[in-house]
Amino acid sequence: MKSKPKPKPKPKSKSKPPTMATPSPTAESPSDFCFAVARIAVSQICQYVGFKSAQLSALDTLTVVATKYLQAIAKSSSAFAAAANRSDSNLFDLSNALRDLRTTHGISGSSSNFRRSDFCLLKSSDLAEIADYVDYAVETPFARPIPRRLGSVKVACDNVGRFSVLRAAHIPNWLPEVPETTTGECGVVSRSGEELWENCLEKCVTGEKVDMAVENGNLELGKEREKVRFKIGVNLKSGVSKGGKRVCWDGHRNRNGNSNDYFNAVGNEDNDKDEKR
Amino acid sequence: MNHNQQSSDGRHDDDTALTEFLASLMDYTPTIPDELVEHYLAKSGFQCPDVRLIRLVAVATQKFVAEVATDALQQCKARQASIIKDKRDKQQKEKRLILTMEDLSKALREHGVNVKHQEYFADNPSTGMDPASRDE
Repeated sequence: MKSKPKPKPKPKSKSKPPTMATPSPTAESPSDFCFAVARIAVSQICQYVGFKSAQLSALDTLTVVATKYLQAIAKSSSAFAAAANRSDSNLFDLSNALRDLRTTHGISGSSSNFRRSDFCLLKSSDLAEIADYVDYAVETPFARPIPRRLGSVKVACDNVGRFSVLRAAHIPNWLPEVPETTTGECGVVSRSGEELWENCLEKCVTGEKVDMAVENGNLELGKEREKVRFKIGVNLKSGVSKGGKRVCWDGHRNRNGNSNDYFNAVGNEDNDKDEKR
Repeated sequence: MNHNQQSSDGRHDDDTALTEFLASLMDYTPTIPDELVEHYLAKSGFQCPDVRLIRLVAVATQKFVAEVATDALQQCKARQASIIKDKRDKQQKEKRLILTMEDLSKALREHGVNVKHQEYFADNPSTGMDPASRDE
């Protein structure tokens, strides 16, 4: 039944015409973009099943149904999780949701989900069927990689200059970094050793030599360096350091004492080397 | 006791099968990309840090779409089998596998989705034909 000529190059030739023919192909809003991506995925699935081409209206309808199905799974399983006083859904919620969404095709084993005595997830026919599907269906990955939105990347690098990877989704983008974690990190780092500075402070160092040294892993600074410049900040606690070199620092990044250690280390490395060895 | 032992053994087997299946989801890349699934899941309040569950949702959706599409394909073939008897050699059968609204609505009705499109819905009749004819 399934005659699939060439799995890989076809999706482009097939999924292109619908996207070009739609009235809003440029996808200004994120929902349009999501819908376009979903439609490409759905058309890939249709092509894998054996269709040669598709009407636009039918493809749109199937895409809408697929996204509704996806959201119905999510809503149902999150409702199950909420009913169990949890906020994170787990596999049980998901299998219950799948069982709810199941239509009347077969009832084999679906009632055993709630019997706690011989409770087993794979006995529910939904998961077993999905496992079979994973086994037998040919893996057809999505046609092309999805670009991450540029805005979110820019937001991830906050105004201090550090990349905040672990910013939760509910925190608005304009909020600054949570202060406790950063200061704690820096404190630990400057006490215990120098290696972790590259995690903490690499982004704000602008001197090239310093960066190269940091990339090498050991924080040994090059013998002859050019002048290291920093942004001139407001409060210069350690404006003039021991060696007499003048080093300034960003005002809002100045964290009591810890960063001052860092200044001394960067500003006059000779003194530091003498001290450490 | 004996029955208890047996059922626990069976449960153990099923548990290992389940863990193997979940582990196999890490290697399997569904057609529906993870980012899309995550977006829709987050939109409807689903929180889960586990990638495997996200993949599982993706695979479930993919399976659903594939089932619907397979049903539509069967409808399409069944519909064409009756027509093609009269004018057989007009076109190759393979070329005419087009996902149409008619077949799709029949297939979706089997899955509990009632699709009603307008009576005079004007879709270009040559929409589906173009890429197929361009190929050869």
